[in-house]
Amino acid sequence: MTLRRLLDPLLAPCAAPLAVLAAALLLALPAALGHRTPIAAVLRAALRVAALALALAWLDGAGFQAGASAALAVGTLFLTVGAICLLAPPRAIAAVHALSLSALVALTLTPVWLAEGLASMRRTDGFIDGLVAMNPLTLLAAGTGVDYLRSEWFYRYSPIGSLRYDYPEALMLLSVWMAGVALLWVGVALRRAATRRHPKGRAFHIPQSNEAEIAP
Amino acid sequence: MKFVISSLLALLICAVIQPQALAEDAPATPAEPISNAAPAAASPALPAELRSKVKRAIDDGLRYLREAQADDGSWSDSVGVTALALRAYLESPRGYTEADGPFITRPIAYLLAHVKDDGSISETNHNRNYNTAVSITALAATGNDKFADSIANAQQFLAGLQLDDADGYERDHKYYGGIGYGGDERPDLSNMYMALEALKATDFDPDDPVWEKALVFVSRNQNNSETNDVEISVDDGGFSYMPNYSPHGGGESYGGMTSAGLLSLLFAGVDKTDPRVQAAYDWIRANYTLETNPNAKEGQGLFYYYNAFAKAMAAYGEPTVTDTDGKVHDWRRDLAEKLLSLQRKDGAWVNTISNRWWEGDPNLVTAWSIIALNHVYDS
Repeated sequence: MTLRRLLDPLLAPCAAPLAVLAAALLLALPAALGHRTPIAAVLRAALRVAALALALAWLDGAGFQAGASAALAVGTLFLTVGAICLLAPPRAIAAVHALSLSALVALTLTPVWLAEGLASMRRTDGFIDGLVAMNPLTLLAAGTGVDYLRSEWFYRYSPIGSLRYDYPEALMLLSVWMAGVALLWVGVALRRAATRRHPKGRAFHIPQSNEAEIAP
Repeated sequence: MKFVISSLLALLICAVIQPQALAEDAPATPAEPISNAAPAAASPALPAELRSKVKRAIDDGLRYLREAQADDGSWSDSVGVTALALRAYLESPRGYTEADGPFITRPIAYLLAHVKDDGSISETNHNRNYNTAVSITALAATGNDKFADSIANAQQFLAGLQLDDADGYERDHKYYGGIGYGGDERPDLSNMYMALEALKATDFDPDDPVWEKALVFVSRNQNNSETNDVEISVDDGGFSYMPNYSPHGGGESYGGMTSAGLLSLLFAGVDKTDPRVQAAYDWIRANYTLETNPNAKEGQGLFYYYNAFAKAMAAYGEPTVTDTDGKVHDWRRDLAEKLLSLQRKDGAWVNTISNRWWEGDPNLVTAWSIIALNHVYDS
């Protein structure tokens, strides 16, 4: 509720999923990646995170569809970052995790850091809609129908709310994200299969002081 | 693992299932008598030659719009642009009506095809206020009583967008009384003025509390410490986009919003002698120009300004504006000459400097310019 009060009224409906996602990516994901069986741990964590987002959305007064959509969006974004980390070379997981989170934030803030270019664009056909569709906030807001680009904060720091744009249809957007996540996880599964055939090249090497105890 | 996958699938199914539509209790208020006369002011007529040029420019603009019209009668795949173009035809000197043919009846049908159960008229969820407002203004301009139900329902939709105690905004909140885009809660003066213009054009009950609440919000957008109870960083009598916020920087007043603010006050029934109206008019006097949208970033919102300025000046009813240096300006002549100079050879107008607020769309900008010229010509 504190986050909700801090946020612009327009972004307030996204407060619960945003809070859950931030906590999950910063705390739950590193813990899952460090687990002895990281794939299962990340999947379990994604489920818990989605359930928590669903519960909080309902407590926050979101409708049935909006809550479920927000939960799926949170789970999808969590699984996306999780899969990217799992595909990274073992010793680079922590760095990839940090890079992925930075990229997620950068993608979310594209309307702001592209502000100058957007303001001077003569033709924006397709480009703006693509930019909006790629934004993780669009995925989070899809179920609630929140027009976050017209929130006071975004309107203040980006011209995008004054340009012509359309949000993608929620189901279509979710489907595309989930298809992307599925592809990433196919990659994770293939990598795990390859690792099993060549145990010395174990993919999920998490440096630990007691490595002998957690080795398979 | 199966549990995980099946749980995710269950969540997906939940998200896909449409919730049962909420029952609408849209009151079936009988429509008020429709009247939509363009504001007019008693004034010396334009010089005959200029008046003739204005009429020709309007005709050329309408011809451009006719060629740009889609087969379904729409313009720019937008309810809002379609409604504005339709209004440009209906209020033009030639006084087009439905009897003139499909180029008038099809856009009407297009608007009616986008009427939603909640009374809104829009092709998108996030411009519902603008689209609904300009749609009923255009429908009212037809003078056809058969649109009365659609207009009455849309009036209720617009009134329902207003933020008040029922939405958790108490009277001392800066958003109280405001209306936003309609897909959100954040109000602004531009959306507010569009909604008030629509309610006024469709003879919405003048005793409805909507007007009084609207005045609370409108007054808070005015940079006038004598009549504004929120903290402002500028105190020059003009209007900003939101209380103490301008998209052109800080909380500055600027031309487009000051015209919109003045119009809002007049629509809400505020007298010309009211200090808020006087402060707004004084700002216009002090910043009188048609070369730019005064105090806005270069080229931004220029044609929005011309459109709002024409309507505001016509509603205010003075034929001339005496600026603070004592120079007298015939605003109709100035605006007519400016718009004539900006018209393209194909009859269209477009903002060649900035695309913000859709001003890169010649259909929208041409419709706005014609409506502005209609006000110049009619008066």
